Amino acid sequence: MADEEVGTALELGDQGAHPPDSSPLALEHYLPFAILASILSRLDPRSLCSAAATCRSLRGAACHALSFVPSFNLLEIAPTADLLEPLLPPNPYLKSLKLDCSRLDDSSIRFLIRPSLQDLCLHNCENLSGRLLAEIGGKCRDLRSLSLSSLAERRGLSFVFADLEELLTGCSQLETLTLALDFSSFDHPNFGQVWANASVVLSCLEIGYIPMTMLMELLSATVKSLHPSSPVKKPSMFPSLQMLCLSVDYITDHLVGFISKGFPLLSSLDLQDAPIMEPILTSDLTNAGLQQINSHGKLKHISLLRSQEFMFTYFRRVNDVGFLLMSDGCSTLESICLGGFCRVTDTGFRAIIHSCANLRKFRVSHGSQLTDLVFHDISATSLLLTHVSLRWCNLLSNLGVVGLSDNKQLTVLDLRDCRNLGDEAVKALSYLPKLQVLLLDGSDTTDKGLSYLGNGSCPLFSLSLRGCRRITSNGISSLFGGGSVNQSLQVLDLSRLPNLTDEAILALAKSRIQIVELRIRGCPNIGDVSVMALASMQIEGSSPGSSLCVLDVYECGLITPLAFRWFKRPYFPSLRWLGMSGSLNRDMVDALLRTRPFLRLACRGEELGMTFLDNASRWYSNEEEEMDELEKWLLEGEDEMEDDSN
Amino acid sequence: MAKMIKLVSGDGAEFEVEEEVAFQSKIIKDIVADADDVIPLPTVSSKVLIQVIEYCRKHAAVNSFPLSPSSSAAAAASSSSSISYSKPVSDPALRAWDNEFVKLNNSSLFDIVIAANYLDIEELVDLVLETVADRIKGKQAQEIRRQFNIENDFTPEEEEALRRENSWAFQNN
Repeated sequence: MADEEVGTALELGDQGAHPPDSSPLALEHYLPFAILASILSRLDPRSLCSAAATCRSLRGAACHALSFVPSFNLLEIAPTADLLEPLLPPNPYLKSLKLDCSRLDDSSIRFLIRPSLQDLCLHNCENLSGRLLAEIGGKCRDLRSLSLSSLAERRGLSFVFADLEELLTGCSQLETLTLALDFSSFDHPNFGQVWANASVVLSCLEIGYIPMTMLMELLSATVKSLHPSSPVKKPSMFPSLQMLCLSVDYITDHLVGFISKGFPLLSSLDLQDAPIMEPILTSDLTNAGLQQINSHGKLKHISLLRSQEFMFTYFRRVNDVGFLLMSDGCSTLESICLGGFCRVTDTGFRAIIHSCANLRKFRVSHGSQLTDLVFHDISATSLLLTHVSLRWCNLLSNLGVVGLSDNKQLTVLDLRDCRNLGDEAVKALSYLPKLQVLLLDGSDTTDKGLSYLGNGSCPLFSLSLRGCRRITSNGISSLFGGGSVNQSLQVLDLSRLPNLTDEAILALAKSRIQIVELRIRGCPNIGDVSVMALASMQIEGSSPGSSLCVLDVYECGLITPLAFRWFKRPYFPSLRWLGMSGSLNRDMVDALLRTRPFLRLACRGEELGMTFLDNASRWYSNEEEEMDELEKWLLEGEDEMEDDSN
Repeated sequence: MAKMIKLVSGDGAEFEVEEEVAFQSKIIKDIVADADDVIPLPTVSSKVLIQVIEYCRKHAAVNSFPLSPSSSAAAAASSSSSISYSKPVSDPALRAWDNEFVKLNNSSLFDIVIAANYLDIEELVDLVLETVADRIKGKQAQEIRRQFNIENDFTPEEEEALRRENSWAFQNN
């Protein structure tokens, strides 16, 4: 390499101090306009706006760049139409658009929806009406992927069947369709048939909630199209469907059977129900129904969840026999989620684990009879589990987790609400070399367990100790003792810890870890000192100020209105979500929102979450989904690093 | 046996390179088809030309199949009206080499991209543009100015207006 400054000139600072040329270069005069614009067109919107604010030439180049950027992804804030419209000029090259539409209404549709789009993702469309669907169907003929959530939820707005019809018939190239909506509004005599006119390359379909009658119409039409009885041969419906995700009234044998028959290429199936009444025999899942799963042998992922959101209920008619029958046909499975199978014992779960040689992700919730025996000889199998979630499995004890930890590939482990887990389990887990996400809410972990983690070798990215009542500030200090946790931790949940004091947060701040999400809600002994410590955190090697994007201090006992002054700029420069007890001082809350218009403030105890993790596929929001979001983030993280800046 | 092409830099230095190396540049390929094998490049200095030739040599060796009709058709297709960012280099070893190659200071990179643009070496242009874009990503305006020695030629009023407009993009006041 001829240049003597190789390797020294990457970062900012004195790269111009010893240049081989005589004068320090100035970017805007050195490079031709077209090249400047081309550089800027590769940036995310936020970096592009920052670059545009440096000088006139770059501002001009940025304006030009906006007319040919291939993608525009802005999910971190909810822009207004005034802010957004100048950033989305006419651009025949724009293929991908991802936005948070909380502050947009129908008047924005004209500059959002354009024929060049292939990938469209619009979250929080509360203030948009069904017209959006019709416009997309009318204009975006080339669309490959569409994802919408929360459409027309504001009072006075609605969407109708005609909107869906226009969407499906217009977007004939659609491959992925996610509509996190309540499909009852689409009820119509032609509902089943309209899907026959939909894109033939549709391979992934996610629906929010769909009433049973509509779903059965759809499925019978599909099954009929596969075996046409009439002499006129009509094309089959959903010929390419591989992924299906639905929330329904009841998961029944009938439903499972129809799905297996209607979609021969299906490789991923997610079904969820949340009964409001106890299901009767003819509308419930039984052992016979489980046998029909994977009748074509192509299934790689299956999720069957019965949520207890409305009443205490579970799959009463499924027991070990059903699981044994299911395991016969399920050797292709790589990912299994089973929620609400309370009558199944170790025999059933072991049958599943031992017959799925390629299993990577295993998730059980409300496994009331699942015990340590399930994992007791897992090291003898060739299983390489990476994601395990065992929620509300109260018979699971430390021994089971020790057995589970023989899986050295474990990356994500969710053991929330398993009351009998304690420090011995944590000790075993601290040796896992790839563990990134560990959720121990409601367990019996103490300070000793935290010291194991602090000295361990897990590259922990996310740790949750919500409700582990025995933890004190000493434990937190030992967590940041200087092990690998310090380098990797970004998400930490220390909510509802009665013995947690400001000492712990001071230790956190001193450790200088790059914390991005911190939740300390419901801690009676956390006060203003913690807020001050977090506000003045300095991170090595970057601009001063805390790196926190999400901070939840709702119902922290010792926080007073004085804390508000620490939330004003320039403190917490990256903060996007804040949870506070709004009863503190309404005026100060309003004043804060005025100076920080893009801060999302939650004053009534809502859980905080970033919109770009919004899991539109889950209709019944319950805490089970928190892990899915983290998983998704981790899995997609490698890809998105190149596209987005933080 | 390999046909050699002679490239003459702006300061008179001569460089002989194999045909397939030189043909990484579409311009050179076109010129050679019409004229002789000595190609003057008055706007490219020796220092930059050496680096560009190094890149072309590495990439010619890796893509070493003769210029077939299919590859030239692909080249023609990619330079059609739609903006195409060339696909990331798939070979991880080559990608690693590329990453080392661009560990240069900004002025060297700019010289290379200007030369590569002039010579129409699409992959090299893309590589440098991505690198420069990465150096801008996630930075605030002030940092970007410092990094690239940009002079702030806005009036205070304009700056204030910009700050208000882009308050969401700015982290600090």
